[in-house]
Amino acid sequence: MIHRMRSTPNPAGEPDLLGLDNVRLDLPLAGVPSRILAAFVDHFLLFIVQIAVSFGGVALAALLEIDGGWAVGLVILLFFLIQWGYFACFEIALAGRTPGKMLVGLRTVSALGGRPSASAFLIRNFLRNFDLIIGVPLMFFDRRYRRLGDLVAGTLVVHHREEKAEEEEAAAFRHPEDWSAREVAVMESFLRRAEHLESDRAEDMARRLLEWALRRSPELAGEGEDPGPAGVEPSVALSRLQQLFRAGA
Amino acid sequence: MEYGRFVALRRPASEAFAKDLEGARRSPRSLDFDELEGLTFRYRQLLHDHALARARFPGTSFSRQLERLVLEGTLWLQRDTGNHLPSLRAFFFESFPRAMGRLWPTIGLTAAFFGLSALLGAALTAVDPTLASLFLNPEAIDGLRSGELWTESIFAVTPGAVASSAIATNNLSVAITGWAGGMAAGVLAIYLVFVNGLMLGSAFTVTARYSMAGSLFEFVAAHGPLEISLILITSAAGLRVGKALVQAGDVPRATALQAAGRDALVVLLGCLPWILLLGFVEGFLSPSPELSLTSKLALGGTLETLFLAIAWGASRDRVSAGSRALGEEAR
Repeated sequence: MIHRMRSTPNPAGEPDLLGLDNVRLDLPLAGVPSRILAAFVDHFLLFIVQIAVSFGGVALAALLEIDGGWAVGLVILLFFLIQWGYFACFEIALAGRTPGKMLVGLRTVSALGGRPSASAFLIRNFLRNFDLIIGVPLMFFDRRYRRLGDLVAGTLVVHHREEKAEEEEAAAFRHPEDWSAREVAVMESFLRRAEHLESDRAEDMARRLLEWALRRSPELAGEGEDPGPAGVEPSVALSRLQQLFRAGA
Repeated sequence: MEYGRFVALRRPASEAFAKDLEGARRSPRSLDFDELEGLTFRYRQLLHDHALARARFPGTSFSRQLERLVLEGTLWLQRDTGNHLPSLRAFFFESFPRAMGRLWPTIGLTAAFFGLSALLGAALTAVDPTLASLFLNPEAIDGLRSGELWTESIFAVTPGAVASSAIATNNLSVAITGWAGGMAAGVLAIYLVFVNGLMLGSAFTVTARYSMAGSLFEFVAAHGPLEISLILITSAAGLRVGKALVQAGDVPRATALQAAGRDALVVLLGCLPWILLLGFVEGFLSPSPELSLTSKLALGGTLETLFLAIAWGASRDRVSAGSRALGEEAR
């Protein structure tokens, strides 16, 4: 499931990303800091793996009594394969993810949000070392934060986390049927943000919203509940709103 | 349409799609054609629901849910063409020659530039032998004075397996760097070809000065021709992408770039096994005193001929077959 981060409207001046039937797609593009963080994690893991291969190779050669020259030759070859193959192999096997990307919550996708081909993954990763010099500055200038490897391979990096909780949370709102979309959006937006607000502020906004909601739909008021301004206790407004508008609350 | 009514009408379809998509992700191979067709049909309906919700009911939870489902569905259902990896036989005897066929003009230009660089290196070193110190360290030049090629001292202390691996990985890195460098408007690839040409010309001139050119020639006879060819070809592949970056022609730049990139990748991947093989040759056979110059020349010639036969012969056959077919059709 997609990360909660709001998807990015297409940057000004860039043509829209159009999916099937020319429906516009707003992909949640990953910015430069996220990408650098994921790359840092991956390079660190790569370094650990290479150290392990070095020591492991020498230890194995000693154990199996393999000629030192062949052991070193094999380690050199393995080093090279790991250096150049780490990113490409992970992205091909895990459909656009590396351990660093998984940790930060990113994924490589095609320009239309689909799964890139194996050749696209190879191209963008063969250009990775080169991009360490020119790709990072390029990402700051490109409106979709693409490096040279992304431009040539036709890929993008987007935010992507597999979390069911947000999906269930999104489906757990309920509202009176005669409310307009705008009214529903305002209420849902507040309930999503309430836990991140300071409690005083959240309660104050909850009280005002509850007053409005009870005036708008008096049938929501409980028995004996005064829908007027004087009848709503600030300290219970937020919990009352959640009780009214969250399914299962 | 009211929001409440829209949700009541379309939520069941979106929930059904979410459930089917989850099932498809878990076991994609268990889907039969009808199930897959049904899934893609529901995905299409979802796209339209998402477009409507975004326009009419922005910011609502159902609109956000549809957006998430659309992105998830797009990720799992839409695949780039070319995802299917060809067999090794198809790759080396069809894809690789086809990509090489489109690259020959660029390879020709790159080879000409390399030749000119080598001549320049030779001429400059003949005039000023100290130029060789840019490429050879003082110990190597001292060795030449005493009649010893620098390769003899390297291979005397380095086991063949280590030398072979080091050479192979170094050459692979050079090939990939030249390939990647060509894509940045060709600057790095041109530099690589120029420096390699300069080095070759300079090395032969300085060894000739100490009557060691024959020894150097004997050392490179087995691996040199193909190694130079591969470096030129991978650089040319990168240059072609650089050309697409600068001069896209009648198609959008992104399209030209991606098409050229795929071709360039095929060429690079086709060259990589040969580079690995040359690492073995250079590590074990080239420095071997047991192999005569004739044997090394024969090996070098055979490798080069075999490579060109695969890269050029198959692509020429295809062009000829295509032309014949067109001719018959015209009659």
